[in-house]
Amino acid sequence: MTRPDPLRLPLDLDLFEGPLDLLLTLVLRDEVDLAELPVAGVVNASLGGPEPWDPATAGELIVLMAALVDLKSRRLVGDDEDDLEPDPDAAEVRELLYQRLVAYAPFQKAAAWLAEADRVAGRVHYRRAPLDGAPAFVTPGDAADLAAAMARVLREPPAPSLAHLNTARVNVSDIIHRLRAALHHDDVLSFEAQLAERDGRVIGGPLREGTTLLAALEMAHRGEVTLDQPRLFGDIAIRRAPREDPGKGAR
Amino acid sequence: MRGAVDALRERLDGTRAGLEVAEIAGGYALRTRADLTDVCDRLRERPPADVLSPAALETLAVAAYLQPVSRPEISRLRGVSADATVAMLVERGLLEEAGRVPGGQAMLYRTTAAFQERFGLRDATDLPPLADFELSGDEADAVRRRLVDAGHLPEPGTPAEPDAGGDPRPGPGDADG
Repeated sequence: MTRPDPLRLPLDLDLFEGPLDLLLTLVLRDEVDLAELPVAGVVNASLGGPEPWDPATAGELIVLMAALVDLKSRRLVGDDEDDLEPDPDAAEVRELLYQRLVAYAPFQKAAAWLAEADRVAGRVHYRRAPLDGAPAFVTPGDAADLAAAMARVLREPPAPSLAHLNTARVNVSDIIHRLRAALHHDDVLSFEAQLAERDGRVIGGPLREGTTLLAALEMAHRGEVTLDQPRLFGDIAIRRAPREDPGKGAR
Repeated sequence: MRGAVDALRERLDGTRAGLEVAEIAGGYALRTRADLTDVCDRLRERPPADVLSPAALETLAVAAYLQPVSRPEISRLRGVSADATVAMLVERGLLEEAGRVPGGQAMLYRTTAAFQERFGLRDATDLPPLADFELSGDEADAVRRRLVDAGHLPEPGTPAEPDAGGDPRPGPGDADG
């Protein structure tokens, strides 16, 4: 189903008949007198179609209508406010506006302060687990009350949930893809460089190191690369294997 | 109690542990250290995308300094309706109802402990003095100049300018006492 295009919508007004975009073009070229154009008529004609508007189409239509109203009001009032008679009441309202702006400014600055506090405080995470079993307040009572309170304290707390934590996922085939991509640019890669900090984030760690080593070994096994470790426990050079058949691209 | 908290604080600080004791929202909280945020964010399932809009922050600022404050009062100060923003902030637990305006129907609002926790405040009054944020003479002049340039205010000295010593409504800046 094709959506009606608000720009192509035919309008039927006394002054004009045709799509809305043509109307706007003519208005902008001064070929249709805006003062004579009934905006309410345009709105009614636009809304009078048989189909309901979807939000995107309605949005476009509102933008067009707003442009039309803006144009018309500018033509009617004039762009230059000096043309208007100064209105003492308006001037007073404007002075009040100024005073309100100055009076409100501290709250805007306070909001900026809050935004900064939010940014700083957003860098910490609070303990969310309840203090399970701990009584809020123990009122002095007999030995039975004390025993009951102690029993609550001594009860084994439930294991904290780790549901909000990321499960560390390592994937050898992902790293093989990444190494292949890097070998498109360079003939030799440094194993240690693959674990170095990137975009301010440390991506190393023993798990990552092990997985990258497995990936490199797998590629060596497939004949895609050769590995060279000149020094024991030193860096490993991952070198792209020379292609045997120039006509056959590396996969 | 305080001694035990201090002892825990010293032990955590002394061993450069990942946790620290902070005095927040009228109590003590155990939280991760701010300089470890990158590590924590990697561990979290979803980094929280809980961003507050400028409108929400300004509404919170008004409420934090003038609380308890009614919605119409916030709207009048901000110059736009605050209904939706206040409702959103209540829903997010940063504002809460605090009775009604004496002799009136309008609901009053104040900030919550979650607000203090979120912004790292010790209590509801742990804010810089509002006077610190008032515009300097130069800044106020700059605002006036902008309004004159935009045609919203007459040039200074124009006859249409009202008497500055008239009867302006009390500004919100007066209300922080």
